[in-house]
Amino acid sequence: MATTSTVKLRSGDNEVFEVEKQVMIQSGTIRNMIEDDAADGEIPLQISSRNLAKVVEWCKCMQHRDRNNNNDNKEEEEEEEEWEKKFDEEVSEDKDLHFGLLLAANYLEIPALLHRLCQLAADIVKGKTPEEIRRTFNIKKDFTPEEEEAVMDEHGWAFHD
Amino acid sequence: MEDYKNLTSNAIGFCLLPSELIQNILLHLTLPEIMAMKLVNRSMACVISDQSFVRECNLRSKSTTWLFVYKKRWLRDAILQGFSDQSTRWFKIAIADLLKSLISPGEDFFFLTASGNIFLFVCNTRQDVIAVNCPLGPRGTSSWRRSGMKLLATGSDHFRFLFAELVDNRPVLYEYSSEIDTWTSTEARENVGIMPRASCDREVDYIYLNVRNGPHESIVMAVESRSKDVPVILRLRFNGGEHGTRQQTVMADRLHVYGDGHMVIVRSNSVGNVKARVRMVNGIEIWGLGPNASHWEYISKLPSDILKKISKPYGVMMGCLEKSGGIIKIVLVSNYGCLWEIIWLSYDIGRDYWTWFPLPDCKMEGLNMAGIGFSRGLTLS
Repeated sequence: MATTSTVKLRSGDNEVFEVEKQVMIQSGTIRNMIEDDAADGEIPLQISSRNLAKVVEWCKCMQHRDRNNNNDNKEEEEEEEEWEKKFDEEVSEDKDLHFGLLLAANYLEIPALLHRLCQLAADIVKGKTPEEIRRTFNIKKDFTPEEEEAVMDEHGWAFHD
Repeated sequence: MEDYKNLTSNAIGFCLLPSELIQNILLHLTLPEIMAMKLVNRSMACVISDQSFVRECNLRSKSTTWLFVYKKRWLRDAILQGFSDQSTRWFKIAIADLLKSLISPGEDFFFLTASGNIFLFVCNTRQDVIAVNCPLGPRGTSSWRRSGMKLLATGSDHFRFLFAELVDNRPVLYEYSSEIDTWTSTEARENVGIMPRASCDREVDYIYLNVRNGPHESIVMAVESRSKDVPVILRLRFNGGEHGTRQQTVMADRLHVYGDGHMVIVRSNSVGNVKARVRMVNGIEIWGLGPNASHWEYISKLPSDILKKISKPYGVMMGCLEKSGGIIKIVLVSNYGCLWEIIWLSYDIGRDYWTWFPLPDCKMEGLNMAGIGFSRGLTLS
């Protein structure tokens, strides 16, 4: 049986985060470890301390929100909304953070965070032409003219802006 | 600093994310946006061509409704635009460019209807029906009524197109099947106890095509969608149906829009100077087939809070109605001066619930409407 109420997460750059188990069970990966009694020592993760701190912060905020779901504290509700808005902005403006968190949420199996991050990534793509998408994400166009034409032909009826 | 940033961005670039993550992101996009992604680079094209992703995408697309508007400034300057209930903007559809090659000088095309990946146009001067990339051949008719036709995509490339028309006062069903590339015609028979009593599962089995829409009676053809049974004629009486309002006898005060065995009545009153012919909508109702399919029966009325939001002065109005999966979708297009207004409403029959989808500006100014329609089931292939 697990004896403590916290779990220790060690980031890729060797920073240790001690977090309540109640918070981290939002992660399927950590939850499994807790259930298997494999979470008593430090859990090493290939996630940078910066990204891990953000993930932990997000989990805390969500757990706090879920716990307070039933009482009508308008002030706290607004505070949480404000926090989420700031989180969205910060992530959307910083691709390293965004992609790093995507990989972390995927590895840690945190569906709600993964969904949020995918939505934010989709919002960045929306309304952009292929060229604009390339510029935004620093992607090199590696099609030969023939290949590009083939893709175009395939969706000849389709949409463009 | 900028260089450093670029370097680190390249460290975990978008395309280096695992394909399952990229696919997860793509599923938050609408189909045209996914197609734009396919043109980004090789690895994107590869991720999007993945068969299990295509299946997942098409499955989700089934429940996405598109509203298409075909607008033009003059004969050869036409644009087909689409808006989906999953997006917040209009998409221009390159299909109109494909049509250009088919249009000879002086010809005029109108958008009839769409289903799946099939878009149907009609050429007035040649009296041809054209599915993009697939002319159906000549099919002359005096007028194309939206409520009298149905396009059914039967796979990503094939379709059936049905329309009903009065020929020498006899209702005739014309059907084109793309798989055998032929037209067939069948004369409908009167409903002598053939149609089952209302409700139960008639929606699943029948396609309803309006043959004639009169102020007091509609002639509707019921076609069994899967069997080759002879279509049945329904004569649906309409009593003027005032539902909770005072008797209105002037036909100009109501617009009837028909489709899929249903009817929407848009009631309006004249405002300001009568000569200016400006109207305001004061009520929208949905009617369906009554028991024994002998008359129209009142179903529901648009709640007044939505009515207040959509009611604006207008000059001329037209509409289109479609029902699928228990949802009735209504689009009303009105014109006031040179401004166009498009209203998209939907009514969930089971939940008795109305929804209004506010649309972003479609930039219709100075353009003419050359067809409007709903569609579902666009697919990636």
